[in-house]
Amino acid sequence: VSPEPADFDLLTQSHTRPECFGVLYERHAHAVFRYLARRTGPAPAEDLLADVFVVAFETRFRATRHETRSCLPWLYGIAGNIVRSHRRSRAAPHSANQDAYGVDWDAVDTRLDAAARRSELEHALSTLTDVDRELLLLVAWEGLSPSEAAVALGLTPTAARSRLHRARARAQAVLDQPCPTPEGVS
Amino acid sequence: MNLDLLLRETAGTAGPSTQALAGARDALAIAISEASGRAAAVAHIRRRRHRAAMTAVLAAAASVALVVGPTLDLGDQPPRATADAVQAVLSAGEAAGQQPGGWPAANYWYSLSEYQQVSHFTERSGETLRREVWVGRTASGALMDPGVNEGTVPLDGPGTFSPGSLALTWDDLYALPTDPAQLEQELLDLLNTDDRSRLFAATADLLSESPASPALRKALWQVVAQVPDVQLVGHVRDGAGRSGTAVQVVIPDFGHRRMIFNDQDGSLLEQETVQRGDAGETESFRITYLSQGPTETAPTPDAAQPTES
Repeated sequence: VSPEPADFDLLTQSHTRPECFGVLYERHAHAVFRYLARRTGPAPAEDLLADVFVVAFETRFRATRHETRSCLPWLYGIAGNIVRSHRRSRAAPHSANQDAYGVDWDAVDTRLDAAARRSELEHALSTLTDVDRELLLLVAWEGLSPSEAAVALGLTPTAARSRLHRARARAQAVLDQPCPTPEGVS
Repeated sequence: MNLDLLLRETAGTAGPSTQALAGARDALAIAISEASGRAAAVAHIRRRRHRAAMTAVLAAAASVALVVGPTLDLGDQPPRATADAVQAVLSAGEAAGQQPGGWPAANYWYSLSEYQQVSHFTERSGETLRREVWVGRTASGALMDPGVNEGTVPLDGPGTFSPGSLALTWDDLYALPTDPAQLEQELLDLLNTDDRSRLFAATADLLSESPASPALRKALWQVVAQVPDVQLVGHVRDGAGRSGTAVQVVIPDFGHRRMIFNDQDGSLLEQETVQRGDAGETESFRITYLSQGPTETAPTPDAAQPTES
């Protein structure tokens, strides 16, 4: 039994046999959707999913490769750009929502017990630069290695590793600080 | 609150609906169909509409797509038999294991290196950059790397070492088994994979900028020897002009990843990743380790750090 072809084998085949790209969709649509949903919410993610794969198909000749031969880092890079375009198109001029790698915090899991957690995380990550925040989330939420996340963000592997370390430490330091007590509450 | 726990708790999200999957599949099918020259007239109309909407995102996507750079002289030689590579790597392990040391209680691990990336992603493509890092065992460290930021950048909190997506503490590093079979299995378990080809990169990560003990370094090289298709390149000179032995794994449709080690002491001199695109363009990343060792102090980061655009 031959193993399943690696993503980049399929990508190469899709240059002359475009239908091969469909296998990549079946393989990664769920993961890309979750990436989108974590950053924009489920409803926009459903609209944006097609855009990611159509853009990926159109730019398949210029895919950024990773030694794991997985397409996911490259797809997340495209998805990140599409999220930013989406946010820019929806944000008022000069709005803070035009963050380069923003997160729609309302989109983060709104289960009752997660609501407070979401605020904590938002607070902790607010101290990070946009790129460092996205780097941390690509590793933590999407399960990429630092070098894979580097592909998605256009960083060197070394820079990604250093930035990740710094981002993790900084976010943890914020979490370690005592919570401010609301005025009037003793 | 632990950051890792918090990230795990907030990672949950629902999957796509059946309709969303079908809709995206249809949109992609139209694009594929047109590329195959089988588009129907109605599909062309839909596509033109879609193209208009996609102009902005295509422009944005281009920024993550292509990496083109001049081809470096990589000193490629025809790889010899894998058995030669195994022997060379095992010899490196023996040499590494005989070195003095073991630094479970040092304050910092200092590494000096130079690196170069050839890529159109970076504004400093092809430029050789000097990197100094002080990784703290229990205290915060510091980094001087103009590729990350100017000045002295703080590395907040105790240092971590990252084979793949992992973040091992100093103590974790010293808790790794030094039996090669156990270490290989431990790394595969930690990486949550059974793909042994991933161990080449993971071991390189642990051999570089880390206070791994001589016994662990020996075991890491023994793990490298078991990586499928590891090839001996032969005697080469690294970016600093030092003589060493290079081994590599060739990754089909990607390029290769290479390590150069010192035959005398089994130290890692350099690692390099080269990616070749379909049109023959080349992207490369090479880091040359110039010195490393334990140290008791680290520089004070600049007060203005970290500020980053």
